[in-house]
Amino acid sequence: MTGGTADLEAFRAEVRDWCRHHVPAGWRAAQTGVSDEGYVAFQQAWFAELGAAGYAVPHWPAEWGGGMSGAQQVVLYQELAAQDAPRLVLAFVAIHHAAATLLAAGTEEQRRRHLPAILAGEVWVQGFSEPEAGSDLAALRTSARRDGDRFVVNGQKLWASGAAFADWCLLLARTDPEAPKRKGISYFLMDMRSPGVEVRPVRNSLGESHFCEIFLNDVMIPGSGLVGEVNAGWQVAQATLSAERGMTMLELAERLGNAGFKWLLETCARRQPGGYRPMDDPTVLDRLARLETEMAGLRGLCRSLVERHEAGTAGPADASIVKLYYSELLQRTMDLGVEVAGLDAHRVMEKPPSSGWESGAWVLDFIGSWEWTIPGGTSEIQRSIIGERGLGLPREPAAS
Amino acid sequence: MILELCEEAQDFGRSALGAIEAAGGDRLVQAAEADPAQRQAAIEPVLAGLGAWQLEPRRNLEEMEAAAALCRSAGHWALPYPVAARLCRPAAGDFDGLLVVSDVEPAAPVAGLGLRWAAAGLDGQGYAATARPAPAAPRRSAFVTRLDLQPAARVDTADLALALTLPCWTLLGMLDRAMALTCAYVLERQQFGQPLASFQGVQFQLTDAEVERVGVEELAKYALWSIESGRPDAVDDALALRAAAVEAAEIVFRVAHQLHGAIGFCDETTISWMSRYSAPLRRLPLGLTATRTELTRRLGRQGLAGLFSSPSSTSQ
Amino acid sequence: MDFDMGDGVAGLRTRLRELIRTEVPEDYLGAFTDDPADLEAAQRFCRLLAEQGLLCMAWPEEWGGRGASPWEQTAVREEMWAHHEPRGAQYMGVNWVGPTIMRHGTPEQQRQHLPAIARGEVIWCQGFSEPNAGSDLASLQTAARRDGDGWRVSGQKIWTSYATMAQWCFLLCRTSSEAKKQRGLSIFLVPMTAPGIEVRPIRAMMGPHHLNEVFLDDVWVTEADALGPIGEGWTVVQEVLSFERVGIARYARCERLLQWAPVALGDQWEALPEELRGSWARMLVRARRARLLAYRVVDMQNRGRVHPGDAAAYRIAVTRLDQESAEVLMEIVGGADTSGEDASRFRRAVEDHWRYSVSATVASGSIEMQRILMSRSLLAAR
Repeated sequence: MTGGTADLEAFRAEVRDWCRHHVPAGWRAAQTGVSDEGYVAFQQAWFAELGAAGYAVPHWPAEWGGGMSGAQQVVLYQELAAQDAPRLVLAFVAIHHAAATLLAAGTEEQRRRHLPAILAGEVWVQGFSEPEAGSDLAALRTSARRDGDRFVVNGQKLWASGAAFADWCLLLARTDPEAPKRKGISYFLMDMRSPGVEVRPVRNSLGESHFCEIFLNDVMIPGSGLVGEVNAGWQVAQATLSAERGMTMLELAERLGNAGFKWLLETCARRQPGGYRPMDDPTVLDRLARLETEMAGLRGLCRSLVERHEAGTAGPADASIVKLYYSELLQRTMDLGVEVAGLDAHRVMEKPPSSGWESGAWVLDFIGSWEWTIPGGTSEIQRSIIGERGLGLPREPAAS
Repeated sequence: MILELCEEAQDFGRSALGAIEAAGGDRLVQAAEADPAQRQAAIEPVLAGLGAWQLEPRRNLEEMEAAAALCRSAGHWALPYPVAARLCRPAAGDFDGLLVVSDVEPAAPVAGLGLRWAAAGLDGQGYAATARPAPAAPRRSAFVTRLDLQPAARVDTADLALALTLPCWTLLGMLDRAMALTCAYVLERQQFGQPLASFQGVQFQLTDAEVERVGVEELAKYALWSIESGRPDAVDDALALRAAAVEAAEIVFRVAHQLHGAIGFCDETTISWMSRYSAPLRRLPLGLTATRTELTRRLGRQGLAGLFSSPSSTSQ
Repeated sequence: MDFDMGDGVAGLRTRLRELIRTEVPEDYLGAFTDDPADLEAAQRFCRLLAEQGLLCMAWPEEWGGRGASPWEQTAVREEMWAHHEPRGAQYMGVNWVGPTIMRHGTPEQQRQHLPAIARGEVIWCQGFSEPNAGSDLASLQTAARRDGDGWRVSGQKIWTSYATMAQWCFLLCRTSSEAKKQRGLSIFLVPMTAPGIEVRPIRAMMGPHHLNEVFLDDVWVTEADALGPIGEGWTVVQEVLSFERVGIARYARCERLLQWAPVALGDQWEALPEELRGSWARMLVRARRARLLAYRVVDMQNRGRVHPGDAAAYRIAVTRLDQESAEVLMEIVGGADTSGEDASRFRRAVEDHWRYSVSATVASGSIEMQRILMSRSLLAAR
């Protein structure tokens, strides 16, 4: 596949046609209020459909089932978003973080064990954050003690999205308590069915529980579960975190620009009881125009990030800029949505878990959007990265 | 110039804070969410014990200030009860409280109380209002429900202004609490070997939020005084307060959530509850844009009362 | 509660407005322009205020004032700033140079300086900031070297307002280089005609005279020129800054211009985009908010319990208001025909406001310093 303009347009037509036949009609309504089992089954089926078409892991190397050019990926995500396809929520960590880790630092054996399994539906969770290690991830305390050729793990992980459904966990644990905090961490692949692993859901402000706590009590991980060298886990983790801050933004930006903005326009065009229609209000129009402009900017930023990523010319802060821009624009979009939706916003209190942060359930999306400036590196951390690595500013002095 | 609530009102506010705490404090809203039917029985005796139903806010400034102080204390605990609306009950008619409603889709957080409500549109049109059954569990609805309206006599300016102003005092109490919780959290939470409070990026977010909070406090006192002194533009002053209070709430809660991090979205933290139950006060009867549009319409070309509000004095 | 300043203050306000209307040229936009007539107008107005007992109202009777109440002082600040400060540079002498000399000056210094300030005859400048001492004022380097029974002062001051027209300088410099930088600073009252002082104006967007460099080369000062004890200058400066807690009443000019807008635009007002009129309404609310926050600081100061954080909250609110209102007002004039007499006067006033507002978050304590002060009290109080 070459990715010339004509080829790309043909590819676009192919994806569009595929979507027309495969995106499940009415999935949003059908998936709203669905049980956990119904959600998991739906996600697995959709992942399998995409896999069969070769659309599930386009960013992977060709030998493992991917191999699309950056330009093709842009087209793919644009079309999936435009056709309002369900998001791959359940497979997200597996296809992005787990795969990036295995490809960058895994052994051939680990890759062979897991990459095909992921394509076949193996679900992964990220076990990084802890109660005392959020923004300061390197302060994590979960310990892995060597015992012969195995490791014995004890500790607690927090904010592990979707842990209840996961088969495997990307785990950071401390193997050398004496070393400086970034130097004593190792990276593991942990089977979630190992004895001693316990998952408890955490309810958020709206009673959803996609966040979990994971308690680890004398969990045995065989030596083959170690990724990279002992005590070199921090460097490995940087690779997977940058996967989160990189290509995944493209899909999110397209979704916001398509589904998200479409819901917003529909909400604005709906006449409310009493006759008021937000669209007739010049102040609303003005804000819509501003958001549309900003979305065009975001999508442009994402596409250029993909291109530079591929050409190997991406700057050290580029991904952080995109993430910061996206999360703040998402919040501004949801601000307007929840405002113009009026009382409706308070009545629509369920959304399909397979959607992103642009489901049209404004209050849920609004609260969800607040979460965006926190995980995967808070906005404060992104700003520090942009300042220090992007602009070359000195580190913030330690407080006196 | 007297710029603070009178001593009696301040004392009353402090006793209310203590009495609500003694009755359960933060647990009251949690219990009400779990079992909405019992909230009336849990809360009304506390308010009665404080003498809330003897308060006549329009009798004199002292009582109006006491009512405001009570609303603020109720906000501090996110008390799941329409205290402000009840304290505004009109002198005439057989009503338990007064609600301001928008003409688009009248609603208020009064589900399941079985009280008799008077309502007022922003144009001063009066109504008798009946609350429909709650559309969803309180976790989803925050007790907001639709109202059915029957036209009644017009509501006078002072009543309307008071019914707009007192809920802002409740919201102010929530902002007080959100700031206190957030300051305490950033002082305690350690990352990178030091409290979050030691980072200037964190400090600056906090100061910007605090400027918003104290600004609301001053505008809230002014709006109250405007009603008591019988000023004809008391409704403008109340809407000016509301516009500022809703804008401030967005900023304060956003900063509070941001600085609490992920834990702030979980019900283990008080901020999660405050944030959820502040929503009806911020959205009803009018959200930020609608409030500002209404204020702009009313101000016309006259502007807002102030140092230069008579047209002849603006140019030299 | 009572937000009415009372009939006395209202009467004073009316009187000041009447004086401004009759004695200040209609097109006056401040003393510091390229037209020397503006400075003359300000000087004339000051002498007039002095004759009528309105210039130093806040001063004690002993020095020619009448002990005006804090609310009368507030009204003076508001009326003057709202009308583009027709006192010119005099407010510095009146507001803090005079009061500081009353507290720390020798009887000779008081006799020499106070009556001149009270008559509105003398302009002061403030020699504080230096190229390497801005927000971190205490690190200033201008040094007074002991020489016989006096000192020789050498160094450089910068951003010194009114230095080209001032007769006197309130000069802060280092008399000893002890370990702690706040120690060893002293204040001298120095005539700008002293040999060794050279002033170079800096052209700036606010207009001429606002910013200057002052070079000091072996300027001779003696014990008699020192204000307060040698080495205690920092304490005195802290006090000076506390006189200025409320500072200029920026909100008053914002309010005046915002209220003037519909009048100046006439029929064009309703044709403005609704969004813009909404921003205008929001600015009116923000102006009221800033004014009430100023009153809160005045009130707390009266009762002797003002915290640095309270003053900082007001300063943050008012400097932001200054800039945000300037943007909104510029948009309003930008879309209107302002060829009429009142409208064109309004436009010039708005443009002046915009240019000046750009410096609002930098001048006399940057907004970052205000936020640092405020977060300190916010986080320490718990």
